[in-house]
Amino acid sequence: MRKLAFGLAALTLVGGALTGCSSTSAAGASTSPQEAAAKLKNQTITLVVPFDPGGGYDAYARMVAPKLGDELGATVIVENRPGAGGILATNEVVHAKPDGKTLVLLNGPGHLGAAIAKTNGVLYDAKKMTYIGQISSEPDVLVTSKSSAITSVDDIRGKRFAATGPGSNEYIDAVVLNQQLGMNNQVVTGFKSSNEASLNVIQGNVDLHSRSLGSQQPGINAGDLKPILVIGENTGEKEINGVQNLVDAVKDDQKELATLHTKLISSGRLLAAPPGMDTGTLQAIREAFKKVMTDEAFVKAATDAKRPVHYTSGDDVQKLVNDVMGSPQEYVDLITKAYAG
Amino acid sequence: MLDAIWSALGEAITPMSLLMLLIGVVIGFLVGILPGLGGAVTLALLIPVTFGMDPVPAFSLLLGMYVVSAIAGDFTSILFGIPGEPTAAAMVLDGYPLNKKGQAGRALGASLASSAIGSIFGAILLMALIPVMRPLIMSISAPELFAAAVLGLTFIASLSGGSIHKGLVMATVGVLLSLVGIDPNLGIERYTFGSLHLWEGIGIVPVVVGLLGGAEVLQSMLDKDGETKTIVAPHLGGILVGVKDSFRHWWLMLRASAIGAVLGMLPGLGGSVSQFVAYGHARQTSKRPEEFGNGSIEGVIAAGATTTAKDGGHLVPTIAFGVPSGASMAVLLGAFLILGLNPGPEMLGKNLDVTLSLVWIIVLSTIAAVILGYLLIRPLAKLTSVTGRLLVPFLVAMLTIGAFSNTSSLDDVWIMLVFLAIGVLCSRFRWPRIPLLLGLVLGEILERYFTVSYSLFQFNWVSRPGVIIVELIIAAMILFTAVRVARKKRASKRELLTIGGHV
Repeated sequence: MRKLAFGLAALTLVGGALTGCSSTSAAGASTSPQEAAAKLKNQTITLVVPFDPGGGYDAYARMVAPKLGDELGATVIVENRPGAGGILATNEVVHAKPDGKTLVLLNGPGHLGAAIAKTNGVLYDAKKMTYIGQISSEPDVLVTSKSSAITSVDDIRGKRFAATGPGSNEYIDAVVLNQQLGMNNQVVTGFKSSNEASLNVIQGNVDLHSRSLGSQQPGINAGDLKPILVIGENTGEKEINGVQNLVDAVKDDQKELATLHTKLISSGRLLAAPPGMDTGTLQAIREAFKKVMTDEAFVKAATDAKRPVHYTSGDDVQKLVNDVMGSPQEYVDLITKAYAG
Repeated sequence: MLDAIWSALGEAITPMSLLMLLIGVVIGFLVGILPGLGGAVTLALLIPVTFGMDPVPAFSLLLGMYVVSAIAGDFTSILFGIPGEPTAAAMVLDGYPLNKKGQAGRALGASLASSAIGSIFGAILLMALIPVMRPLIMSISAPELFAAAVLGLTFIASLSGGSIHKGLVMATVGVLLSLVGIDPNLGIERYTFGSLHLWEGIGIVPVVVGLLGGAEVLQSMLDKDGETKTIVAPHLGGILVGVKDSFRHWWLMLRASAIGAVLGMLPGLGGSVSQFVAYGHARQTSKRPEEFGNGSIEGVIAAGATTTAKDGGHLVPTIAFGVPSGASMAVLLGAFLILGLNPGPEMLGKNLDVTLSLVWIIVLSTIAAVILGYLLIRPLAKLTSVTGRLLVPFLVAMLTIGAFSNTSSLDDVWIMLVFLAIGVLCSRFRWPRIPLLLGLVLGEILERYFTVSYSLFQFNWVSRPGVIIVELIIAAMILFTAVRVARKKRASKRELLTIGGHV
C-alpha cells in the first residue's frame, strides 16, 4: 500500500511538473509526500467553514476534522467564517499560505456558480485553487405540496418557484429550469431561509421549490411534499426512486446544458486549499483524506448521522472544476442571469 | 394524552437523562454568562457528543443547555451591563441601573424568578398546542410576520424614554441601517461600500454589545471619580425581595411570558423582537412608567419572563413542520434528524412521547437552573463590589470577544466600536438607544415580509384572518394609549388649575 502511495506520489510529481499545474512553488520547493507529512505532524490545521455553525457544512466539517487530524497526526480545528454566501471566506483562504495548514470546505455549486457568473466580490480563480477531494454529493430535488395538482414536470408551466434570493442554489435551479424547459415562470424571492420557502410551498402559497435532497427528505417523509424532478445525479435514495431526471426531461438540443448543470449540482461539498500547494503536501493531504473517506466505520457512522458521504478524488474534482469553468457561453450567460436577479 | 405525559416524565427522569440534563445545565450557565459564546454555537459543538444516544438523554443535554443559557444570559446584563446573549438586551435597561443602586441581588432574584416562570409557561403552551400545532402554523406566512413587525413598531413610543420625537428619529436611523446589505429580492448590494462583510447586513450582536454594553464600560472608564459606581456594598439579602417582587407582579409576568411565547412561534421574527415588545408593554401598562430605564423592577420582570418563554414557542414550528425560527432551533432541528426523528406528523403521533419529554426537559432544566442560580447569585453579586477601574480590562475583553465571535471577524469589532461611540453620545445627550435597536431588527423584517407578502398575494393579504387579528390589536393599543395620554393631560391640567386656585 505504501509503495503504491509512493508510486502515485511520484507519478503526480512528474505529472505536476510536466503540466505545470502546481505553478509557482512546485518546481523548487517540492517535497516528497513523506517529508510533507512529517512537516504537518503535531501542527494545527484550520478547516475553514464559510457558513454558520450548525448547518450541513459545519456538521460535515466537524465530522471529518478529527479523523483527518488522526490520519495526519495533526490537530484539525474547525473555524466558521460566514459571510457573502461563502465568497468572503474563500477570498481570504486563497491568500493563505498553501502549506497545508489552511483548508476550506466549499459549497461546490455556490463556489463554482459565483465564479462562472463572475459575480461581485469574487476575487479568486476557481480553477487555480487546490482541491483535496469531495466529501459529499447529492442532487437537488424539485418538490411541490402534496395537495397540489402538479404530478409531473409537464404540469409546472406557469407555476411559481420559491427561492431565498438571486445567487442561491434554489434560485439558480429555477432560472435553469425556466430556460431549459422553455418556460417563463415567476420566482418569488425574499424568504428569510430555505426552510421558510419550503413552509410556504407546504401551505400552498407558492408551488415549486428546489433544494438539496437532504433538505427535502424530512418534508417528503412527513408526507407534506412530493418530489417532481431530480436535478443532478440520482443517488438512488428511496425518496427519489423513480423520479424523473432533468437530463431526461429536456429536449435534445438542451441535453448538453442539462448535463453541465448536473455536473455543477453534483460538485457537492468540496475540501480545498489555497492555490499553489506543492505536490508533496498535496499528495500527503489527499492520501489522508482518501483514507478517512474510504474507512468503512467512518462511512457507516456518517450514514447513521444522516450525513452520507460521497468520495471523489482531488484529481477528479479538479477535472470537474475545469469542465464547469470551461462551460459554453450559453451556460455562462444563464448562470450570470441567475446571479443578477 | 395524560398517560403519555406521565410516561414522558418517566423517560425524562431516568438516571442517564438526569445526568445529561445536569451537564447541560452547567454548560448552559457558563455559555449564558460569557457574552459571545452563544447558544447556537454551543449546540453545534455538543451535537457530535449525542451521536448514538437515545433521543431523550440527547435532548436533555441540548435543550437543557439552551434553556439555561437564556436564563444565565440575564445575569451578565444585570451585573456588567453587557448582554450575555442578544436576547438579554432588554434586561440591561433596568437590571444594570438597579445594580448601580446597590440592588443587584434584588434584580438577580427577580430575573431568576421571572425567567423560571416564563420558561415553564412556554413549555406548558407548547404542550397545550400539540393538537393544533400544524393547522396553526399552516396559517402563518409572510403577511402575519409583517403585521407582527408593525405591531412591534407601535412600541417605539413607550421605548423612547421621555421624548417620542427623539424615539422616532432613532427608530428611523435603525430602519435605515437595516437597509445595509444585499437586497433580498434583487440581489443588489446596498451601502456595502465594497465590504463583503456588510453583505449580510449589520449584525445585531455587535450592535447590542457596543450600543448597550460598550457605552456603559466606556462611561465607567471616563468617570475619574467613580461616580457612576456607588460604593455602597451590594445588598445581597435582596434576592428574596426580588423573588417576592416577581410574584407581586404575577400578572405582568404572565403577560410578558405570553408575549414571548406567542411571538416566539412566528418563524422568521427571531428572538430579539419579543423582549422589547414585552418591555414596552410593561412600561405602557405600569403605574410608574418614569422608573423604566432608571431601575424599574417591572422592567426586569418583563424582560426576564419573555426571554425564556420564547423557547417553548420556538419549538412549535420546528416540531410541526421542521421550520426553525432561528439559528439555535436550526441546530436543534439537525439533532432531530440525526436522532431519527422526523418533524411533522410523526413527532405529534408516533414519537409524541419524545415531544412531550421536551416539555419536561424544559421544566426540569429550569428548576435545576433556579437552584444553581440561587447558589451562584451571592458569589456573583460580590463581583459588583469590585471597583469599576479594576473591572474595566476584563469588560473590554468581554466586549471584544462578544463582538468578534459573531462571525469570527474583526469587522464586527469595528461595528461594535462605532455603536459604542453612538451609545455614549446617546446617553450623554439623552437620546433613547432602544428605538434604534428595534428599528434595526424590525426594518429588515418589515421590508422582507412586505415584499414577500405582495409577491405571494398582491394586496389580498390584508384580509387574512391572522393579519386582521394583529390589526385589531394594533388599533386597540393605539386607542388605549390615546385615552391614557388624554386622561393624563386632563389630570395635569386640573392639578394646574387647583394649584392656581390656591395662589
